[in-house]
Amino acid sequence: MAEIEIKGVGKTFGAFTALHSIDLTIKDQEFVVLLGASGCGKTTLLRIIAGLDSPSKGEVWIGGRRVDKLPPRERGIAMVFQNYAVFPHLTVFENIAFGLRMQKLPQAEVTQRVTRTAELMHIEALLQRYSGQLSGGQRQRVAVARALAMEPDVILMDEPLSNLDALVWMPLGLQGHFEPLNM
Amino acid sequence: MSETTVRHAGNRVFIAAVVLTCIWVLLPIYLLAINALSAPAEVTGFPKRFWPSFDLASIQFFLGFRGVTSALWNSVQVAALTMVMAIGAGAPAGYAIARFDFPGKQVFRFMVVMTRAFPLPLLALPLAVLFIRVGLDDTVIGLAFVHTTLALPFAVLITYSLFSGIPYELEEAALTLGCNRVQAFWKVVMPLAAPGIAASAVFAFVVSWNEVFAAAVLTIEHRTLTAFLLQSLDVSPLPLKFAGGAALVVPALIFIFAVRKYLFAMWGIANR
Repeated sequence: MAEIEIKGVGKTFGAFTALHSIDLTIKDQEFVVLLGASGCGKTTLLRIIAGLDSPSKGEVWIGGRRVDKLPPRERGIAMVFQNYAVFPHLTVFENIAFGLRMQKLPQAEVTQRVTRTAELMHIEALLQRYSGQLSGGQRQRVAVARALAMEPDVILMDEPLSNLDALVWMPLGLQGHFEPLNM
Repeated sequence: MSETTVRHAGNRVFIAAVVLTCIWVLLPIYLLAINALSAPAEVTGFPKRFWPSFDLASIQFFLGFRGVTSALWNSVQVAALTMVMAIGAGAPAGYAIARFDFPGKQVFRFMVVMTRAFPLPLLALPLAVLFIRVGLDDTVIGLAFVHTTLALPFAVLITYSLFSGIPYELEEAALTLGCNRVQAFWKVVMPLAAPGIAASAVFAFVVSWNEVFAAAVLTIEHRTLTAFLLQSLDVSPLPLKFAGGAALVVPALIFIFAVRKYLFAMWGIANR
């Protein structure tokens, strides 16, 4: 349940202006894709919404809350990174469970949510493997599963097309399971 | 001369250089080992046998020598303290250089290396005076401070290359999954960096273990093993010197061998 409102967001890195002044409203349950040439600021905007970068000017609102001063963990978002960022020292299961354990959910709930998202992304057979034992596409599915397991208000995905493998599974599985999905 | 003969000649020079370097490094170690493991009578005798007789009398004589065990214990204490302080101060510095852009970063990196450009004899005298004034002279902790300054640049550089090798994205992912910065470090970066940090700690230990100059200048009663051996070099019998040398070299060699791949990484050579 979250509408994203971006009001006059700009970002400068030294003398370089990455984002001039972005105004964008993404409605609840809407599925938005940012397109553009490489280096045009798609990732920068995503990182500002996620809270990994702070905007030089403007405001970010998620679900009626102003979030641009909040750290990422308090924004109700989950992000799938361009290079997946699957933790190499944890198994697939522990990767997906990572955010749930941070929320201190009971073990039964963690197991249940991990199993459900793993089935959704068709990686239930890989749960005991480590990142190094996965293919690129499998790794991306783990990254997506890790984000979905959080059941966040907003899911941000950077370059979800970089591996078609994950995309093939996703839209089918997502329908009906995760209604509030912004991308 | 044809091209192939030139290349062959080049190969031969290369091989000769490798052999010479190996002899340069290995021959003293070999002599040390063979004499430390021989009976005292054989140590002073000539010609040498190729294989040592594996007689432990020299080692026993060394360990029973007055002052050796306390010097050994001092060495271990100083090296352990150096290890803790060098990593405690060096790892955060390495992390900062690897992760953050801050004003003066390049100067800082340069200064870290520059500290090794100061010859220790130049520092030792003022340090000795200062230590006497504040009451740190002839103490284990005082010497550990000096050794920490020697080991710190390496600790910073090794941990810097270590943290640089861990993608920042992993930490960011942890941040989006509910961690604050400290949690992200302990849950994601630390498990990945731990073996390298251990290696860096071992290296700091060896730097202190092998250091002789500051140890000799700054301690009198609480000699470390290196300072003790240096002090008694001209008055002690030959078997003692060899056994003492082996006691210094062997742990250092084993430690360095165990952590070699991280040290190579520090100098930008692939992890092999």
